[in-house]
Amino acid sequence: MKIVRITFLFVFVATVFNSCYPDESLDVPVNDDEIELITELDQYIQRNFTDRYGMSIRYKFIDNYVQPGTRAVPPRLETVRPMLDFIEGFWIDPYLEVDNGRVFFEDHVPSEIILLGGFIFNDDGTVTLGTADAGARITFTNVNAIDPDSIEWRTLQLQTVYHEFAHTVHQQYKLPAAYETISPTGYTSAGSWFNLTDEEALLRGFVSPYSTSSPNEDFAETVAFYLFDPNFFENFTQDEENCETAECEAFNEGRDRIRQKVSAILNHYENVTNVSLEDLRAAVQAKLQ
Amino acid sequence: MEVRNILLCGICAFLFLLSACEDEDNDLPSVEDRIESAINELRDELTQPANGWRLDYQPSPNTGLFYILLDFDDNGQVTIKSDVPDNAGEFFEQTVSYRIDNGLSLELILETYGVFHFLFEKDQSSFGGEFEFLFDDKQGSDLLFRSKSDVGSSTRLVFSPAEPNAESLLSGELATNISKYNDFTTLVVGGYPPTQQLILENANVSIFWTIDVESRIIEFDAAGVGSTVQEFLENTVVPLSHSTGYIFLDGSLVLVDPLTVNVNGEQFLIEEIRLDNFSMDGEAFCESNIMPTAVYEGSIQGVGPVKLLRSFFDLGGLDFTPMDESGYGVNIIFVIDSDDRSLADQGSISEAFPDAVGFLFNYGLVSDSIPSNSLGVSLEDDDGNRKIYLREFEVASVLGNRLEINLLNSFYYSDTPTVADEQGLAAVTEEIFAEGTVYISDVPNSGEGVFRLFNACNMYQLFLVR
Repeated sequence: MKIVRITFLFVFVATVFNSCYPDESLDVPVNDDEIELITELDQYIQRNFTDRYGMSIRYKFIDNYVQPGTRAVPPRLETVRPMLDFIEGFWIDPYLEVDNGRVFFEDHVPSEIILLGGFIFNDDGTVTLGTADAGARITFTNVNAIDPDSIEWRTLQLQTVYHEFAHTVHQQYKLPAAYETISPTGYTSAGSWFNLTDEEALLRGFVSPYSTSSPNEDFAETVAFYLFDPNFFENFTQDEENCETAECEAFNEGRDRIRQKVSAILNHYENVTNVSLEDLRAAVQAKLQ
Repeated sequence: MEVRNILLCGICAFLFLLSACEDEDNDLPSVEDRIESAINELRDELTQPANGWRLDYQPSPNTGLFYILLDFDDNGQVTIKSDVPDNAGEFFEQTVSYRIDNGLSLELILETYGVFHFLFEKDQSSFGGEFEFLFDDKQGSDLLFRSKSDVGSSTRLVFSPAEPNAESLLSGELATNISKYNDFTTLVVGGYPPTQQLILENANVSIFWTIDVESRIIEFDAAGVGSTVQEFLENTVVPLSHSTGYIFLDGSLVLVDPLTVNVNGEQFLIEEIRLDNFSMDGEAFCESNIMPTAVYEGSIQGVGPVKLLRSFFDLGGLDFTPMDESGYGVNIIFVIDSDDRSLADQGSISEAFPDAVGFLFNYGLVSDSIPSNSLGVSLEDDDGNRKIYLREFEVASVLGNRLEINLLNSFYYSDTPTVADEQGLAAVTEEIFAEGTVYISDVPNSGEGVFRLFNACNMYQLFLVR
């Protein structure tokens, strides 16, 4: 009983104290959200990305954009505009060039694009090449090394953006029906995908070791590889002829699974987005020539 | 009764506390206003000094210092001048954007890439740099910041108002020239900082040290009489175990922890080395592949004129001596080419001897069958059967840690080789020991008896364990 009274008194006093101050909301914006269009670059971003697609381009460093325990740096100022040109040319434009692509892109585009100068270094010694958060944000890394003519650099960026953008499809429309049953035993346990080689992944019916980490990642990886890899069919779907060994047949079984996945994905895109992924691949490949 | 007392007490407390809610609280600015005011105040502080700010920046206790000047403007831009010579002088002067945020305290964020970010991301972002600073305090005319991103103890940064002559102290050219001593440096096994020889010309004394031009740390190795290695070794050698960070200031290399050394009964204080005349006219360490090396002429106050040369001397390398009972050896992956690739992974060893497991170097071995001086590979097949293929050499000269050998056309095989094996052994040994001279150093932090043999003619290196 005594404890109840003391508690009552404390609550009472606290309430009175609380009433002393004018309303001071704690959700005060830490940063000034108003965009100050102080540079030509900022104005260019406003016109071509924010006004047009509702997309914010973040090239000035804010540590909330990287996970705690990771280290990253912002890009050089002079690399930002060339990077934006690359993003427009190799990611946005192909969508605008195919039937229904513009509507799909505008409806699904992430609200934030983060540009980082180098890779993201994690405390455990690993390196993150690119990330995305629930379809709302895509992070491009290694922007300081921008070189669209470099196949290695270009592949990294395109793999990241096509992969992350593909996630928006299964997040909104789910995976193709029974997609996860195509390689039912191929998926790896949590955090162990990097123990696989490319060949072992192919044997299981996956385009990369990372795609074995879950059906969602498998979907996104397959879409990304399908779009940007000029040799996708040679690398992943064309059977080796005149197979005479068990290993050769096993690889062909893996290729058959990838063919099934690609077929399911193409139909799924047609059905839920009205976008032909085949046309989109053709548009992307035309850019890469 | 008890209830009434409690109620009375409650009413009294209520009235007392209400009395605390006086009107003067209404004059308290809102949180937004107070934050904005604090941000503006710090911005005013940052933009106030006529010559900007001077920062003697030490990213971590494991580094020396970088001389940096910062000039903030009201429009969110800061011009940064530094003596960091990387990327063709990109960081000598740069303008990047900055922002003052309010988190747990005021934060100064350098928003786009510049010298601080360059240092931050060195060594896979483990160098210890930072580009987000928490504002701590103003002490006198100094602004005190600390790192926001350091995990352990935070780097403290002291912004001091720059003197009118602050810019003249920038030593970008000196930093660039010192980095040229880094030629011949490889990345393998943590990298090997170059050795320099400081000659105190009036006293005819040499001091050898390694200089890490990336982290700006000097580790002293030895001192003694003489300006050449031969003369140096003919006299008493004083081993040194001192290390220190350094900073470049006004054309001088300034040691954070000065060195005092006694040589031949005379004491020398090495604190600040003025470096004036630079050239690439130093000794070439390979006759057939002449690669110029750096030389600086300068002076030390109280000591007189000095010369700073590139060297390959290493006192620990003198411990690489002939062994009669067994040879030196190493896992085959530690034979490395000029591109820092193991010859066992991709290169002549992997092609000629895919079964190679070790590299052998017999130096003064006493054996009935195996040549006393011989080098080559040990091989192991899938069944665990071992064999060794060796090529004999003769020692042409030894000067301290410099070993010159001549490969002979005399071979030892523990098992009958194929013609391809014979050709392979000849080719591999010719490749690794091209020109025949190697400089030997002990490998720091790896225990006694681990050596690195470096061929300055082809930039190959080989690690051997006693």
